[in-house]
Order: sequence, then structure tokens, then C-alpha cells
Amino acid sequence: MIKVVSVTKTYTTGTDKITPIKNFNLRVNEGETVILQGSSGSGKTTLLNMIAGLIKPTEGSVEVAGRNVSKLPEHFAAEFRRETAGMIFQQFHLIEELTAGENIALPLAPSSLSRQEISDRVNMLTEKLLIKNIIDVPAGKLSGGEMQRTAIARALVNSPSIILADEPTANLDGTLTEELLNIFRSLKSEGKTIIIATHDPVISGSDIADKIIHLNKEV
Amino acid sequence: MGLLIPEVFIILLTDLLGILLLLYTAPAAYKILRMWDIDSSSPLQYELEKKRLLTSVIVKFIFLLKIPLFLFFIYTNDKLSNVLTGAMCATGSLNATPYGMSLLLLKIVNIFLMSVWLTIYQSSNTSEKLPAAKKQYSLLLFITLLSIIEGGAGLLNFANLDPTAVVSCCSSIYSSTTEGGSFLMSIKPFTAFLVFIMFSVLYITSLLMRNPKATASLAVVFFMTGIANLILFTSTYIYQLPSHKCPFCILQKEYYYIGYLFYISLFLSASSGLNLFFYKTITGAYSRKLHFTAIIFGILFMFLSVLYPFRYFLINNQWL
Ligand SMILES: Nc1ncnc2c1ncn2[C@@H]1O[C@H](COP(=O)(O)OP(=O)(O)OP(=O)(O)O)[C@@H](O)[C@H]1O
Ligand SMILES: [Mg+2]
Repeated sequence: MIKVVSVTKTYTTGTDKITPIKNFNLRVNEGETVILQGSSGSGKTTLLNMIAGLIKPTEGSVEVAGRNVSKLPEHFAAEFRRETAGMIFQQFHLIEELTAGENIALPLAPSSLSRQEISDRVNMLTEKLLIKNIIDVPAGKLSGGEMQRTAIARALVNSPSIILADEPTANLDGTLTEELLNIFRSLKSEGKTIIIATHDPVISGSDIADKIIHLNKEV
Repeated sequence: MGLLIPEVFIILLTDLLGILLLLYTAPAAYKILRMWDIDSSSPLQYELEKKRLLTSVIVKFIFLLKIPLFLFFIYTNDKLSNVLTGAMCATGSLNATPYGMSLLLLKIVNIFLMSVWLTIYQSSNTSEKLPAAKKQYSLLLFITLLSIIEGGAGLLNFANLDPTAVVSCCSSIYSSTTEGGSFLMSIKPFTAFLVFIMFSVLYITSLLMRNPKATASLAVVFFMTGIANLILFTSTYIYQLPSHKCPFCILQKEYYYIGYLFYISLFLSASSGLNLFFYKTITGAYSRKLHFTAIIFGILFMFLSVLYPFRYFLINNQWL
């Protein structure tokens, strides 16, 4: 279960203060799929980052699976992300010098899996996402849609119980979007908790959403 | 007058820098001490958690630098003996002003406290609740205070160095015949050796039995009896002169700088032994790293302390 309680996030740059998330509450039960909507700058990415323990709120708390993620020191937050949360970033954050396959396998590096097990997992996911052919291509050379699917595969490779997806279809065409929806459906049937931030009406209008949350831009 | 000697200048400058950085962290330390509440999700608590991270990194850096700087302090005092009339080694330099010996003791206490701080910081980080944050910062404030006193004592000490005055050195200070011969000098050398061996064995035994509480107190005793034995007994065998008792001449080239090995191993062992206790108290776990450091360097120090007398005996077939 994910519990966001009275969370406020203020960014301070110089003398400017922006508060995209203000006194926000959200509860996502295990196995639920929630869609976050809202205009650009309304704080969708900010909220996902806080749930992933990547940034800390200014006030309030974020609890994931009984752990107070907003309080985790960096070392523990990294471990939490590795073990519990799979994050698909809006900007992908792939390592350009590594191949797509190496990028996907990255979250498994600290685990005790054998090379064979790791490559089995990578193969299985790339097959599902139709990017098996680009496994050995450096990530910097991939097309937008391929990067996106590489980022998706990386988020899923350690079978996290929570999946946080930030605009996962922004670079995908109609067919690939449908393909991704199928992946989300099967993840959902496996009982995963999913939060998707998206502008894409295909996703928000689909059958996967249990809840749709609108974030309003603070002025 | 001594202030312009390059080495002294470096010591005072790094001391000052350390003090300034510690003072910079002091307001955060004070706030953490007063208002830290890990269960709170208030903006203040998040602010303090950020401050803890920042100040801890700064302080860790200062301490990791200051601990080895102690050796430089000793080295400088040894070097200063060249310009002080009557001084043969650091003993003379340290006794050239009324502040020298207190400064030395203060520095020793402070580096032990810094090692404890580093352990508390490290062990606090092993739990996501940061259980020792308040302890960490109360100790930090105390160390800051000591560092300021230490800096002042250093300034006084080096400013009062008078190259024209004749100072007394180890031959008179570490001899039982001078008036005011201290308590230390009234102990029989062989007694000091036996006491040292006895406590070393107890210390190592407590380590082998993994009893951090006993180890911590014995580590302090091990350190003190180790130094006492070095001055009264072992050093005479290094110099091969029964009347030459000195903890500092062994740092010189004539004795292959062996003193540094003595002091480094003694400090590493005693501080690890002491810190085992703090690590255990905070994390509930027994640190293998500290355990082995304490044992290996403890045995090395013991071995060195025994080696010189025995070597002398084997060569000369008699004790000093
Ligand atoms: N690190 C930061 N420093 C300062 N301001 C930031 C930072 N990150 C985000 N912001 C600001 O916070 C607001 C919310 O940003 P966020 O990225 O969460 O929005 P979003 O809903 O994800 O938008 P989009 O739909 O464009 O991705 C924006 O105004 C943004 O400029
Ligand atoms: Mg965004």
C-alpha cells in the first residue's frame, strides 16, 4: 500500500519558490492501478519521485509497504528502489555508453543472480517489448521509442511490486502503446501496484485504471 | 616567535580551518540536539535531516584529516628540537613551554573522540531510523569546544617558544632522580612491563571473547600501560641504554622511525577496541572490521614492545 499523507513539496531556486504539490493526500491499495493526470508543471513527476524516494517532501510523509520512504537516508532509499519500486522515467535516464541490454540488466548488478539468469530475464522482457534486436546497440544510438521501451524493461527487470511510470507512452506509436497497455494488464493481473502519470487519453481511457487522480496546478 | 616556522604555521592554519568548519556546523548541531525527531514529518525535521547529511560529510572529512595530522604535530615537535637549545627530541620541544604537554594530551583525547564520532556516525547510518543522531551531535559540540581550546593552546604553545632559552629534555624529564619526579617515573621499569603484559593479555582475551564492554575499558588501559611501558621499559632497549627513557627519540632516523609504527599500531588498536563498544551499543551488531583491527594492531604493538628487550637479551645474554 502507498500512503501519501499531507505532502507538500516546495522547490527553492535562489529566491524563487515553487510549490507544485501542496497538502496532498493519496492512498493506493496493493494491486491497484492509478493514473495521474494534470497539466504540465502540475507536479506529476514530483509526486512519482517522492514515492520512489528520489526526492524528499518539504512536509508530510510518504509510506510505501509500511516503510516511511520520505525518511529513508540515501543508502536505504537506493536499496528500496532496487528491491521494491520500478521507475520508468520521463527522460529515460539511460546510460548512453552502455548497450540497451546492459542498461536493462543494471538494477540486477547488486543481486546474487547468475549471468545466465540475468540474460534470461533480459531476453524475456526484450521479447515482450519487441526490442530484442537492439540488445547490443548502445543506448545513445536508439530511437525515442526504443529508448522508452528499454527504460520500461529496466524498470521491470527486478520484478518490483510497485511500478511508477512517468509518461511511458510519450514516444510510442499506436501499436506500441497498445502493446504497453497489454504489459500493464498482465502486470496488474500479477497483483502489482501501478501508478502512471500520463497525458495519453489511450491510457487514461483504458480499462486498466482503478482510479484517476487530477493534479491541479497551483498558482 | 615559533609561529613563523613553516611546519608550525601549517599546524596552526589547519587547526584554524578545522575550527572554522566545526563552528560552521555548530548551529546545525545545536538545532539537531534540541529539535531532532525522526518520526516527525515537519519541514523543520526535513531541514535537519538535510543538515545532518551535509554537516556529517564536512565533519567526517575534517576528522579523517586531523587524525593523521597528529603525527605531523609530533614530527614537527621532533624537528623543532633542532633549533631549541638543550632539546634532543620532541620531549624538549613539548616541555619548552608550560603548554606543550597539556597540548599533547588534549590532542590525544581529541583524536580518540574523533574516532568515536566517526564510529557513531557510521553506525548510526546502518539503521534507517538514524538512532544516534543526537549522540553524534552532542559529541560533535564537545569536540568543537575541545578543538577551540586545543587551537588556543597550540597558539600559546608555539608563540611562547623561545629559541634562546635552554630547555630540559628526555634525559632529565624522564628520570626518577630529578626533583618533582612524576608518579610515572617512580614506577620500576620491569613492573611497568609486567603490568603492561598483563593488561595486554586481558585486552586481547576480551577481544577474543567478543565482550565489547570489557574491551572498551581495557583498550584505554592498554593504551596507557602501553605508553608507560614504552617510556619506562621498552624504549631503553631500543636505545640500548638503561638511563635513556624517552617516548620520542624512537621517532628519529637513528632508530629507523620505529616510534611511528609503535604509535600507529597502538592508536589503531586502542581506538578500534574502544569503538567496538560504541558500534555495538548503537547497532546491536559486533563489528568484524574493528575487531580484527584491534586484534592485529594490538598484537603488533605487543610484539614490538617485547621484541626489543628480547632481542637485546639474545644478543647480550643479559637484561639491561
Ligand atoms: N528540481 C527542481 N527545481 C526547481 N523546480 C522544479 C524542480 N523540479 C520540478 N520543478 C518545478 O516544479 C513544477 C512541477 O514539475 P513536475 O516535473 O513535477 O511537473 P509535471 O506535472 O511532471 O509536468 P510535465 O507534465 O511537464 O512532465 C514545475 O513548475 C517545475 O518547473
Ligand atoms: Mg513530468
